[in-house]
Amino acid sequence: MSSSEKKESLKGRFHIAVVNHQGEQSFDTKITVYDGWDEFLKAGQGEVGLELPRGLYTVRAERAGMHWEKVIRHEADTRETIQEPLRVSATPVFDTATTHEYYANPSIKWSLTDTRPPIGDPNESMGRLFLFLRTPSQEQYRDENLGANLRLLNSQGELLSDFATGDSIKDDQGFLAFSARAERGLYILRHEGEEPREVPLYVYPELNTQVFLVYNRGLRFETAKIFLPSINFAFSPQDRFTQVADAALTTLQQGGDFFPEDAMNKLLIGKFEDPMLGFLGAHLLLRQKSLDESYLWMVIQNLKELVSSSPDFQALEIMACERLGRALPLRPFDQPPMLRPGLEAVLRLSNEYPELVPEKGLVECIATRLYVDSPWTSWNLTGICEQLYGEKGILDEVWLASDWLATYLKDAIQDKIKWKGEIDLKELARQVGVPTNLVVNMYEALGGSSLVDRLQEWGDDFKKISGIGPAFESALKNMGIRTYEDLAQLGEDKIEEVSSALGRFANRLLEGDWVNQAKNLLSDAFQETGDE
Amino acid sequence: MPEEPGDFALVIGINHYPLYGTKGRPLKGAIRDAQMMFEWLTDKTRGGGLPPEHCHLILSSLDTVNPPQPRKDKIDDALTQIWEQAEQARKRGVQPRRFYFYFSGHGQAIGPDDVALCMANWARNREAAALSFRKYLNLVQECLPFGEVVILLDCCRSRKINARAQESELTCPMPRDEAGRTQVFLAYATEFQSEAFEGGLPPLVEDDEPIVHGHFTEALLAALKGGAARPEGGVAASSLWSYLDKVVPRIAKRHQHMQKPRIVPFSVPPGDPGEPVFGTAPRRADVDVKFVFTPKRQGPIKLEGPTLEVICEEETTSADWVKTLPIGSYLLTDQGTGETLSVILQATEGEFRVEF
Repeated sequence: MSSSEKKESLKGRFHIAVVNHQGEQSFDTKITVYDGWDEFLKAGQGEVGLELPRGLYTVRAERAGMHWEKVIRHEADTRETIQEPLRVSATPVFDTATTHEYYANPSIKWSLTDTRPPIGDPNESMGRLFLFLRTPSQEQYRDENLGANLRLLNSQGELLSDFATGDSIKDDQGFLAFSARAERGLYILRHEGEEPREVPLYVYPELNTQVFLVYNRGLRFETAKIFLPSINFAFSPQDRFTQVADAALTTLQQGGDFFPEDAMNKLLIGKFEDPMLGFLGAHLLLRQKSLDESYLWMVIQNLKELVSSSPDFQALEIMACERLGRALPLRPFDQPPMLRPGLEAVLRLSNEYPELVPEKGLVECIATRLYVDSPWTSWNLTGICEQLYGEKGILDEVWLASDWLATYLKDAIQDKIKWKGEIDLKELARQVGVPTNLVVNMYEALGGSSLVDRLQEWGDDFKKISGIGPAFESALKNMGIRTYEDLAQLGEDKIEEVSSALGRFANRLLEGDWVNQAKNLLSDAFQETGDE
Repeated sequence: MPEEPGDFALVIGINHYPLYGTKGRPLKGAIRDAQMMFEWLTDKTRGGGLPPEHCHLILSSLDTVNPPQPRKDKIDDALTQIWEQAEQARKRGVQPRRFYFYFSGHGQAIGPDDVALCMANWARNREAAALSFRKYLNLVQECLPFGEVVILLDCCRSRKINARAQESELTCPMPRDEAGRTQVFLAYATEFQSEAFEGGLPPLVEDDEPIVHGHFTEALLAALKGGAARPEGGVAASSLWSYLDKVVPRIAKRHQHMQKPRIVPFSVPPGDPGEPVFGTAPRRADVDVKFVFTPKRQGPIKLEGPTLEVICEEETTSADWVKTLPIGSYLLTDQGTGETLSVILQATEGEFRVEF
């Protein structure tokens, strides 16, 4: 039967509605209906109604990055209510596929109950640090030690906790809870496992810094959720504020610029209960193409009264000033914001305003080592940052040899030489989003203008190749073969040409296996530091 | 279809990434996908109709693993040639019309609007050995004389590390006058922060190796070869968009993956006479299907079609059913057990296999 013939068949009502876990209609689920020939019929938010002849129809539901399809048999009158696609979250709130009472209940309890003595001198206004790690479900718990390789450090890099029993509560259903009053300041959550990482956490007076993380064959930092409710507020899986903040973090991570108005209002009203909601709301406001400037400024001013010393607030303030064309408050960032979009804005603006990122400070040293799989700031802990904690401010040879920035600079300068471009360090820094000072320092450490001369005139050291001394090196370079790569890539024609130019030493190139030696040197250079 | 002398393409397929991880992280289908894209682009009967010399194919190969190639300068060299060819064409009176850019390889999101397209020499100490797709697109829009740009990126858009990517060394003193009017069709294989996957199709010859495609390119080629064609032939840009949006997630699901493409269509409205059309392939209406029944089946088995018409009802389930059926939705019912299976048939390379 053709499409036109089918239209002549008797039609019946075809109605699809989507509901959430509480049985309420879910308007944030998009429904699309296709006919039996896979042609688009209609789309709607939360429900779709059509008059359709009997047949097979495909319904597609999409919500928060999750989607599924279902083929529905339509005889005469079809009314189906379908469950919204459940999103995935580390936070045990009730609109996700990964929330279970056996995690929700302990997270409520331990968000307000100490698992260890206070960190620092006890006083009334101390904040709280609450960490809740758990597997996606108890069936996926394999008796692992969820806190293995996990450390809590203070801002000086001193160990505060290794999450051993006595400091934290572990359970055979697959969760670990850590909860303690803590004095204000920066703390570092360090993971020393296969994928080493450090995450900055701030504790504020009278606020409860709540951190949720999923463990699934290792800690999944990309799932982290962090909230800052008042010290007396227990975590609540039913709390719409928490659910909205959770969804806002997903939007922020996915780079979205749309967030439903109703949800945005909840975030911005909720900031008085939890400044993190305000941070999230302000970041999402800043992403909107059409901006209510006075509204944004009011939010910024409200946050200023709540947490003016927070790096997250300070990053938001300069982002808002930039967006609104106001003078930027150029305070140096000694410590990074928890929200990565804030840190990225600071690093980007430091290209123009270097004073934002103090030289040899924490923000500068993490700039080349950021992970970006989460909306939170986190970095690979190897190299310079470890040294910063030990001997503050040292750029040493090990770092120079292993860091990608050195390789980038050398490659970029070689490209500029090849294409006869100008070497502009500020521009090179802008291209890869790191502070200009860092690039300038690296450039100087690599030899500065002598590096350019070396790359321009001499290229690689051919004397490392067995059989090549200064004379052969000079001869090859005079022929335009200046790098291991040039030598490694010599084709048959070129080999003949070069051999011939070497006169009575014409056989040396092939007999000495210079091309393969160059390939090996090139490969070694990559592999020395080519760790995943 | 006549040749399209005003169309040009840069097609990149990189399987070899010897330094991507400790042991490298090779891909299996990127080269094949790029080659098939090249074949479609240069097919003058139903495909893109490009003169072969206008279609620049850059592939990685084992011979060039040490040192790994291609690298950024090779892409810039190819782009330089395309630019020169386009200018020469214009001097000959042929107006450059469309530029295709296809990439299949590893990618990392830089942000929601940009992807680092990793070159073969990408390594942890060479994090910037990648092309910023957005900066290259800006260059093409501002400097190269094309009215339409089609970007097809079959690569991941996930972010673990902070991806760095470079811009082209090419530039022009002033953006050309028509720069702001360039039409761009952009298709990412996957959503921001998500991975794009490869999957094996059954071999065309029994006992042969499975054919590996990126899910995105599998759907793309099926669409361009007629799966998304208009009744009068050729694939309108809006049809390509809706086909990919619909079919990529289905192909991914068949391989237990989740993948949804992200597409930024041309600004020309669907159905507008000026809407760009790709190739001239006739609409593909039917697909060859093999229904394979497991021992669980009791039968009889009933197969119903898009209007619930009964296509087949047989007592025995011992033999496979091989049929040619119109593209669309079908429902299999085991009347013995009451179990059902719904199937959405799509145009595919080779036979569509359904196991029930």
